[in-house]
Amino acid sequence: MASFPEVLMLSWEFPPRIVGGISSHVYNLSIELTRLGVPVHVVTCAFPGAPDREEIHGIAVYRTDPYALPAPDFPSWVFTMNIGLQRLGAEILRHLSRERFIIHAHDWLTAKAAIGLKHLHRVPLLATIHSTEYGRQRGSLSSDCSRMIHQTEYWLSFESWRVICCSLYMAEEVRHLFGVPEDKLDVIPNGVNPEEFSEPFEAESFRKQFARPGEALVLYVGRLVYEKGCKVLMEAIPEILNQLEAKFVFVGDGYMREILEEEAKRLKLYDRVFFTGFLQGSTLRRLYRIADICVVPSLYEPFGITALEAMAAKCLVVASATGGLAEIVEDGRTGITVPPGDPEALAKGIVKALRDAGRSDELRNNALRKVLHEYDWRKIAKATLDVYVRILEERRKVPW
Amino acid sequence: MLRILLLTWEYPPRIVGELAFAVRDLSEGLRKLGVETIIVTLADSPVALGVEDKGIGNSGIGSLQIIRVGNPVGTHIHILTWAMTLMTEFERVSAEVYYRLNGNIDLVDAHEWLCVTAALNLKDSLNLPFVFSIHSTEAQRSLGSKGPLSQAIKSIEAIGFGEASRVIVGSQEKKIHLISDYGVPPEKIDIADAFRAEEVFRIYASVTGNIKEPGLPRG
Repeated sequence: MASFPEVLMLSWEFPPRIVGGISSHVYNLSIELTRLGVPVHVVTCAFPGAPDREEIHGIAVYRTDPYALPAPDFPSWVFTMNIGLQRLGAEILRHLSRERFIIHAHDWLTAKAAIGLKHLHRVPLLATIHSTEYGRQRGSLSSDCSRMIHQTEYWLSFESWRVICCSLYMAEEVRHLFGVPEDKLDVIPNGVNPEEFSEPFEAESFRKQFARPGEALVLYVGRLVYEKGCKVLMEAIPEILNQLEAKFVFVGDGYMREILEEEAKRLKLYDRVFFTGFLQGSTLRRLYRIADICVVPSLYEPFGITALEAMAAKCLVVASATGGLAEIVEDGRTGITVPPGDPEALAKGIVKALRDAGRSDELRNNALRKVLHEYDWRKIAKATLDVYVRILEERRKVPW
Repeated sequence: MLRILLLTWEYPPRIVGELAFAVRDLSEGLRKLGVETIIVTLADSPVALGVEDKGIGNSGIGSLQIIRVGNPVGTHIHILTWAMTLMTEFERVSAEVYYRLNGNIDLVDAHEWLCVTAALNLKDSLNLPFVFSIHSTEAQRSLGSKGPLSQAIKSIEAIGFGEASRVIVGSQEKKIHLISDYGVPPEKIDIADAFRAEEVFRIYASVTGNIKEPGLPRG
């Protein structure tokens, strides 16, 4: 097909550079788009050991040195790093037919380069907004820095031909915050690969590294930051331990780690709580599989990829009913939900999940079925391709 | 005849410093010489957003148009982030002009570091050469500060010195400063005494290969 789209992805992270969830999102989406026949060019930040140019599973990856220019702070760094992204993007767009090109930007982090390239090359821009500054700051834009980022997000959504959000919740947030018309928004979820959670391993000896045989293993995976609710989980632990034996494994890093460690000491929980730091790959996948339950206590969660990964690994999820999480985890069907920010309710939910073994098998199976049915990367890529095709069709009807 | 796109963050009535007057005098001088000048600058009270057409010069050729735009992001933490988002808006408007004129623009003239990234992106994407006009440098303004913001601004100036076809300064003293403090190759720097239009015009012509005398119609 002559008009098959070709896409320039702009992402500040792409494997092996992993900071948050965008990296694996762009990676998996790009792989499946490539399989559908869409040529994908990913322009991203360099990472030690990764080449400046390479092809991964058919994806053309271009990396720019994110520290080429000195920057006084993180937001300035984001903008000056975009200079490098835009130069690479221009190099690609200059040599290719722009009739079938789409620029696909991920979050405000690539807004400057994406908007510049859009206008200079007259190529339509599509943005996926994974999260918002307003949400990350829990509804408070109290600093100039936050307001600047918020307005940059507005600018990106305004300049985009269409906007993709990963959950109904996020679509509503973006509509409300940036005034994006409903008919400009597409909801396409994040995905997960269940087959990644089936490689054989020595479960028993692996589990012994984290918990004693009689202890239930409760897993938390996520950055250790306020909005993820890790502190709520910490406050729920004493009540849980009043009722049963358990070990709490916190996977992830963040500015709250020291605060949580102090809290664990204060509550005399030090032998019941284990901080692993940042983990990824097979170690993390195995942890999901040996854990009795995975807790996602987020206060703000635009999507909730952790819950999805746990469900793919057949680990029972106890999640707060908030944001995109509430769309993934349905109480009593694919997991257990509790109100966000309430340690007592969380403790109750966790105890209930750990005690009712028969019921939890059913929830696990339902959860896996849901993952296979709704969060398959092939389906997600197909839905994304449909958006590309729609944009190109609309683009052809207008001068610019 | 030449058609240029001139990028500046100040142009009367927006006056921050000397730059506003220097660019005004330059652009009016260029019009007399038959240059078609399109200025992209920041809108500021009391002149609103939009296009001001100063029309064709007395000689019957040459024209001057000023396009004033706003910053798409209103709140900023300092001048660097402010410049970064404003420049993308400059790119948007410059691209509008470029496509409207079917690409018939000979040269971009970027004044001061603020406009470097827009000029760079116009060069990368639309193959337009640019000259980098320097009225004052961060090294001079910051009195040699090694602070991180100053370093970042200097690094953007350095991109301008590297990527521009020519660097224009208004005096011999400035040229020496760029050579000794920024390591700009001497043969890349042109002096246009006080940015006088006749001298700047000759520098433009040397870049575009357009060596026709001033005043000849475009052809």
